[in-house]
Amino acid sequence: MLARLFITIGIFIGLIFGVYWAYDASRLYVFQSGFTGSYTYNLLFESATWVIPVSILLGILIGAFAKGKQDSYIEDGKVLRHDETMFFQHWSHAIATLLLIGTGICLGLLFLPRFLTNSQDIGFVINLHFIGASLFLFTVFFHVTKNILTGEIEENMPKAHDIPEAIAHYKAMLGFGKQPDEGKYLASERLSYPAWGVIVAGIILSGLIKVSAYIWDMPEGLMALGTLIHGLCTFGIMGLLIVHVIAGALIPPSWPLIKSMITGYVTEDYVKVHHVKWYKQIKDNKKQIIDESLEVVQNNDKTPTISN
Amino acid sequence: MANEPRKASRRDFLKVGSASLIGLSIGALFPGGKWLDNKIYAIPASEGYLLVDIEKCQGCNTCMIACSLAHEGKQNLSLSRIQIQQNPYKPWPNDLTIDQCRQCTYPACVEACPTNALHADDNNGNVRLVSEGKCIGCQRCLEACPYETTSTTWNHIDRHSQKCDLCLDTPFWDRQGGPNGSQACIKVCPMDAIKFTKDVPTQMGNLGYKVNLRGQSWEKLRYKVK
Repeated sequence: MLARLFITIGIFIGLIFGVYWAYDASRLYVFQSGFTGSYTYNLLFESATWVIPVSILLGILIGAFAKGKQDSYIEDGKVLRHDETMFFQHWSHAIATLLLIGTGICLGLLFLPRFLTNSQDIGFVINLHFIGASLFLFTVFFHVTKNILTGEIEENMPKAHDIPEAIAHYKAMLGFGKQPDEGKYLASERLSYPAWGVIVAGIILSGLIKVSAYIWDMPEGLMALGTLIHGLCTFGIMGLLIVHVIAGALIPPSWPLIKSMITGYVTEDYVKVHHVKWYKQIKDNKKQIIDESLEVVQNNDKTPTISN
Repeated sequence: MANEPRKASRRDFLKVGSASLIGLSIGALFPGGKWLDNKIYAIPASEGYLLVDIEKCQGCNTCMIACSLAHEGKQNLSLSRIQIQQNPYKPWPNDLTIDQCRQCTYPACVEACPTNALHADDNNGNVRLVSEGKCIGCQRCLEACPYETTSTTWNHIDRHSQKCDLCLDTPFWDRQGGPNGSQACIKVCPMDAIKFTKDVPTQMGNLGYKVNLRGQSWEKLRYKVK
């Protein structure tokens, strides 16, 4: 738990620094000397554009260092579901996504309804969007790099029969039929993963087009297309996020997962009931470890001794 | 699965990644690099200006309606790029102000735009134009404009900044606009209080350009001519 506490403190310190940076940059100062009434503020997308490629590459670099998940095991009736890496990855990504959606809504709906009433507020929100985008890019590239290099991405991708399994799962939740035997990840989670991938890729690519305009003179048509795709993907992400929060946090069967996303552990009973295949896998792992240990002990016993 | 050997060498990956990180970061820190726009931003003067005689204006708002109609197809005073305001606490003829874009020789709005959406269009006589598709809505152009009321305004329907383009882009008006064409506000003004010139006029602070469009008939009405 100490590691999780440090991670939480780290994320919040980073966030406070980011918010202050955004606020400080958005303060108005005299732009055209000699004129009263000509002011401007700094846009971090313009003055600190370098943070965007650095975030992407830092995500890739740290993702390459990150350890893969350990094999699950049962200890004192508890099973480790979300390790520290997952804890950091999930919550930093969640904060970045919420920050981006919140600021994106404010900017997308300028005037209708009017959330922002002056240019300094607009600057602050655009700069907050920059902070969110930097964190978002870092977490996405961290996740993708780690999962590709460790091979964990295969666990997240859809498998054959996932659609009928997902349907059976939700029918069982409504009281019709028997719940199918699930692995660590539900069939519906695997099915939603490519959707997340496509929409996140769309939002990043269109966002990078928009960011490019701060450096290069971009064609107007490409910028307009980027803005349209960015907006559409925002609706897509909001839809997926709503489904994710309902399915992963609000409905009672998911409550143990919310707890494990903080503490890391779910109970053995929960795994036994809701993730039958995963439970079997854990038991098999345990058996394999015991067998290997016994083999080592037996081999040690057979070691010849030197006698005079 | 997690214990399977990696296909890519972590060491190789880190070498390439670190080099890219350093290279891209340095590249981004120095605008003007090989792939960056390397123009010198000495903004050329516009080849056309609107002149407004405030004392001749009677505040009928016809120019505002014409501007909104020609550009947006709507009768909406808030969408007009020329703004007339009446101060009820000031006596005639000082109660009216007209704010039109002065096409400044040093346009703070162009300088402030971070995405080059607001630019001097060299294809159209260097008129200061907004490329609406490139506008990100930061409103720095509104803040940078030194005049009160600002000459760059916010289109609250399509949500982008807009300004006088000397009627270059008027989808709802069939005349040719721009520095070599007609301007809707000039055409409709019943007082002839708005004129067009190709010469850079003298600035008069917040009052607009120093201009007197009043003639003899104005004098016959016993109005102030000078």
